[in-house]
Amino acid sequence: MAVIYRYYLRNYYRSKSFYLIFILLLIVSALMIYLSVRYLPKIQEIFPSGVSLSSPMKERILLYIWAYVLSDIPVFAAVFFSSPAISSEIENRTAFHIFSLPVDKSVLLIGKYLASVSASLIAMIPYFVSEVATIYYLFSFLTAGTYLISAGMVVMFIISVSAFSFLISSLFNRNLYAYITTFIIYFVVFSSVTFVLQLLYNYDPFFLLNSAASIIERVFINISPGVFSTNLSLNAAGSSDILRSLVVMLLYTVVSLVLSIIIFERKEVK
Amino acid sequence: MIKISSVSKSFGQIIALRNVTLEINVPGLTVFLGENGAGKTTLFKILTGMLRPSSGKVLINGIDIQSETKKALSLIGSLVEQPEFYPYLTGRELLEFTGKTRGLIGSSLNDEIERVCELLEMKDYIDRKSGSYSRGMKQRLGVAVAMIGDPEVLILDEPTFGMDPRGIIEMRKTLLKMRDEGRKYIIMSTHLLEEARELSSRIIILKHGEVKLDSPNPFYSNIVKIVGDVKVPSSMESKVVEKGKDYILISIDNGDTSSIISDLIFQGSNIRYVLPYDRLEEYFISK
Repeated sequence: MAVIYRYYLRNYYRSKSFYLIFILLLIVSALMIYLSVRYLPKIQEIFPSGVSLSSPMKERILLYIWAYVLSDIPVFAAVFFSSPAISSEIENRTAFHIFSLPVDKSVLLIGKYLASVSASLIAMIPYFVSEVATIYYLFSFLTAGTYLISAGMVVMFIISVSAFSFLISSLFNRNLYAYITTFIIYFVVFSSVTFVLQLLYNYDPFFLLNSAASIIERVFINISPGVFSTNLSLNAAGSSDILRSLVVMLLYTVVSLVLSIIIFERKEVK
Repeated sequence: MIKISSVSKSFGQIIALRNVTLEINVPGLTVFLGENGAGKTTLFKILTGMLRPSSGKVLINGIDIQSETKKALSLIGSLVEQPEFYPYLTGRELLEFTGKTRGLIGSSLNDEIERVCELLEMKDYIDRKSGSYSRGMKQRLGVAVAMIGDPEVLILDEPTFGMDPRGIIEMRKTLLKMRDEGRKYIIMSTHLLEEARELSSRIIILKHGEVKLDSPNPFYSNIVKIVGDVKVPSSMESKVVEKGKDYILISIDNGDTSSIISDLIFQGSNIRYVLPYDRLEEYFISK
């Protein structure tokens, strides 16, 4: 497993996709630093004149914005690294090499999956570093506990969305189909189901990955711009919310990986 | 060592292999010949576990490739079709990766990489990323990947495909050397009859997914083709296998070609050239 992981990771972090997402994240990080510095004095203006925001509240609002921007990035990373993970083996004919190795296909898949997750995490390091540095620079403190929970949920989201992308990838022999399907499911299917259920039935579809991922920012402030609910407030999401999101993401991970392995084991190179 | 029992494979309505039964029990080089779509690559993919047979079974040293794939693959090095490799890894890294999955580590891995690189003359580009390789270089890397760890069974699907003439000559020399060492069970496919003739210890012709011929090589070596204005004396008529407008095929039972040529010249024949003749082409086309 370690051998498979190491060489796949090496192939990932030398790839153009990795550099592309790394550079994009550097640009996003720079924009977020600029936004934070410029926006901080204006935060008070969006609230009614009677409301006075404390410094920790302002910190939470900024962390919320950073986390909100971050929450879709794992999806892009997953599309780059994970969506073509299995389909590319067939389309790019590398399957002729790896399928001839005396290694269980499940080990190949898990090794590649861990490498993909690692590559996504490495690509996000500049964003995390910029976030911490900016908040610390602006406030001279950082609510480390809440920040770590949010960061932990980002990691969990990367783990789950990558697993889900692996599942989609295992269904196809063409990279393009895998890319498009991942995008459509995440940004169209999940989003529209969320909208319909919330608008028509005032029901929060907590079981969808995008809904579970909103915990990344809701640990700071329990508001989601895409959510039409009366139960949201400037307070942080509670531990039951966090636990529920964690379980949902964990379930996506386990179910997706198990199904991916079953499909991958049965995959033929025609 | 390799036992293929009643293997069939269909892709929807298309039958790629029909009830193929073969055994390869003697070390040597078995060449599979066949036109495009004859079923060679499909059979090789089944031998390496890349495809599941619709029916039948493949055993490698008694191990079922379908149920114990990992164990069976540890005995096999293979090059199937024209593989691609992870483009951001160098040739050396790909050989390390392959070698480690076959249990090689440390100096034994490095020595093995050196051995294979030297054998296949890859030293000039082994440290370059494989994404920059030409087709011929990738083909050599594919053979190197198959050979690393010195597996007992080598399955090579058109190993000289895409190579330059020098590469083809070197590859054939390497294959001949391995064949003559008599330790390995080498199975290869080719479209080139002269390659099959030169390298094989056994030839199997596939057509429409069926074994049409399974024969040891050399293939009918007791016939020569004499080209020119050939006048055959009546005493020799019984030896003539075939007579054409400007050639004859004649049987030379005792290998005494020179006396036959002398007799023909004495008879007034104008001989342009004499060729060893086998019926491989004939078999290949007619079967």
